[in-house]
Amino acid sequence: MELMIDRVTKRYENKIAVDRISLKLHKGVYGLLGANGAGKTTLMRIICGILKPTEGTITLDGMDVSEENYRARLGYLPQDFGYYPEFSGLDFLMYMAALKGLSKEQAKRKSAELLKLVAMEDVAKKKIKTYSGGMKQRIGIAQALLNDPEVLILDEPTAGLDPKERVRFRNLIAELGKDCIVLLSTHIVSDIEHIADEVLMMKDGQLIYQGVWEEDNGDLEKFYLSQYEEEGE
Amino acid sequence: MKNFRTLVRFELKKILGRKMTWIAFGIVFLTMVANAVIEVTVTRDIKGVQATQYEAEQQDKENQKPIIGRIVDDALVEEAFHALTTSETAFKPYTDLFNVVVREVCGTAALSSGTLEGTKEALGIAEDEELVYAARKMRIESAMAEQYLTEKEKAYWREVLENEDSVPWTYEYYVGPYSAWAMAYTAIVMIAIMLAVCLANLFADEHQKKTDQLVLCSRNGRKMLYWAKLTAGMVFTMVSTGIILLVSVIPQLIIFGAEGLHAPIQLNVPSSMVQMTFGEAILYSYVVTIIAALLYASLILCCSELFRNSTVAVVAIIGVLVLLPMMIMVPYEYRVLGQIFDLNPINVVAIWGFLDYRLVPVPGGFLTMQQAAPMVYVLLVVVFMVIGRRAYLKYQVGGR
Repeated sequence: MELMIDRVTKRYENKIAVDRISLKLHKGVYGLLGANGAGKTTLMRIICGILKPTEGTITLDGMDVSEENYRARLGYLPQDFGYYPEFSGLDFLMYMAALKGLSKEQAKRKSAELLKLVAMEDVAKKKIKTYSGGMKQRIGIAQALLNDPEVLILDEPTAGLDPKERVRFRNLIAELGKDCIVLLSTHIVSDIEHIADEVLMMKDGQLIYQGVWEEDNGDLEKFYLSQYEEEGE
Repeated sequence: MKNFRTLVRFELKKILGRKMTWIAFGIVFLTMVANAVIEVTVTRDIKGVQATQYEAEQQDKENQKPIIGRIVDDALVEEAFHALTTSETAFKPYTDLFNVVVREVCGTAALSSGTLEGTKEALGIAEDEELVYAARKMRIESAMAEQYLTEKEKAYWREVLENEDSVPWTYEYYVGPYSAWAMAYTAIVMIAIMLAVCLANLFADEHQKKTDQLVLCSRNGRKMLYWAKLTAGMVFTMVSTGIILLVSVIPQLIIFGAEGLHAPIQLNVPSSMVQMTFGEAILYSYVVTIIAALLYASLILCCSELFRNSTVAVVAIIGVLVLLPMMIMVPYEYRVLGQIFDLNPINVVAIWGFLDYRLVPVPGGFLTMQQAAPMVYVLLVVVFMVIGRRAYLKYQVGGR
C-alpha cells in the first residue's frame, strides 16, 4: 500500500499554500507538524480529494484521488467541522456509513463497535446538539473509522479531548498505524513523539523536515520551536 | 441503491428536523384552512346584507335557480335586461349572468342602453346575431390587437372560436369549483414561500456548517449524495404541495358545493379562449402547481448550492419568483420579454392567465401559454438540476 504525493502545489492568487510537496507514505503513523498557516490543512484536504491541487497528483496504489474507490479507502477527521444538530450520534454514524457505502448491517455493526470504542454507547441516541465539545470530537473520530480506512487523515484529532482521552486516542492511533497509513497533524509535539513513526514538518507550504525522529536528534519540541524563532528573527 | 434510499431518508430527516420547516408548513397550512373557515364564520357586509360568504353564496344559489340549466342566448339576456329595469328582486336571478358575462363582453354599452336591441345597436351587432357571443368575439379581437398578436396567431384563435363546442353556454351555478380554481393562485404563492424557507438550506447548510468536508471525501458524497438530496427535496415538495392543494380545493367544494364542475369557464371569464370546464381548470391549475412546485424546488436547491448561503437563496427566490411577478407587469409591446415573464407559474395559474392569447411558436404550429408552461417548467427543472450538479461536483473546500 502506497500513498504517493507527487509534486503537489496549491497556489492562490497571492499565496502558495502548498509548494511542490512530494511524499511516499506507507503503513505507519506520520506526524505532521507546522505553525498555523504552514499549509497542513490544505495538504490534508488535497489528500482527501476535497481540494484540487494547482499542480501535482495524489494516488493510492495507482488510484487517483478523484476516484470513488480512492475515497472508499479513506477516513478523514477535519480540524473544524460541524454536525447535523437534528441527528443523534447513532444517526450521524449511520448516515456517514451510508455515505461511505456500507450496507445497513455493516453500518449497524460498525456503529455499535465504534460507539463502544469512543465510549459513547450510553449517549448514542441523544441529539448531537446536546454533546460537549469532547464528545463531538469523539463521534468525529468514530465516523473516520467507519469504513476501516486504509488511509486515515486526522487533522488535530485530540483537540478538545481531556488528557485521559488524549492518551487513549494516541494509543488507538498507534494501533491503527500498524494496518494503515495515518497522517496526523497536531500542535501537541508530545503526541507526535509518542506515536509517529515518521515526522513531517511544514513551513510556508514547504516540507522542511521528513524522517524518523531519533533520540540522537535531540528534543523534537525544541527543534520545532526553533523553526518559529528563525521565522521571528 | 440501498445506500441511496438510506441517504434520501436522512436528507428528509434533515429537512423535517428543522423547526423552520414545520413553522413554514404550519403557517401555509393554517392560512389555507383559515381561508375556508373565514368564509363560513366571519360575518360582513355583502351586497348590503350582514352575512357570511357562505350564507351570501347560498342565497345567490337560491336566487339563480330559475336560470340554471338554461342556454345563454338572446332570450335569456333579454329577460335579464327586462329584469334590470323592473325591480331589484326580479333582477336577482340574473345578477351574476348580467354582471359577469353580459357586462364583461359588452362593456358600458350594456348599461347605458339598458336593452338588448340598444346594446346590439351600440356595438354594431346585427339583429340576428346572438349578443353575448358576437360581443365576445369583438372583445377578443380587440384584446388580440392589444396583446400584439401576429396575423397567424389571430388566425389560430379565430379557428378555435369557430369550433368551440361549449357555445352556446348552458348557465350553471359554479361558485364552488370557481373558488377552488381561484385558490390555486393563493396556494402557489404560499407554496413558493414555504419551499424557499424549507429547502434553501439543504445544500447551503453543508457549507455553512462545514460538514461538506466530511461528506465530500466519502465514497458516495459526490454523485449519489447530490441526487439523494435532490430526491429528498422533491419528495418533500410533492407531499407538502399535495397537502396544501388538498386543503385549498376540498373545503371550497364542501362549503360551496361541486355544482358547475362541468360548466365552461367562460361563464366566469367569458373572454377566455381556453377550452376548459371548471373541473378541468381546477385539475390543470393544480397539476401545473405541482409541476411549478418541482420547478421552485429545483431552483431553490440550485441556488442553495450556488450561493452556499440559505438566507441569500431564500431572498433571491421569494424576491424573483414571488414578489417580482406580483408587483411588475411587462407591457405587451415587449412581446418576447413579456411572454417569458408571464410564463411565471404565478401568472399561469391565476385566472387572468387564462386571458392571455399570446402563443408560443413550435414547429408545425403553436402552443397556448397553458400548454407551453408545464413543458417549459419540466425543461427548467432539468436545467437547474444540471447546473446544481455541476456546481456541487466542482465545489472545492477552500480556505476558511
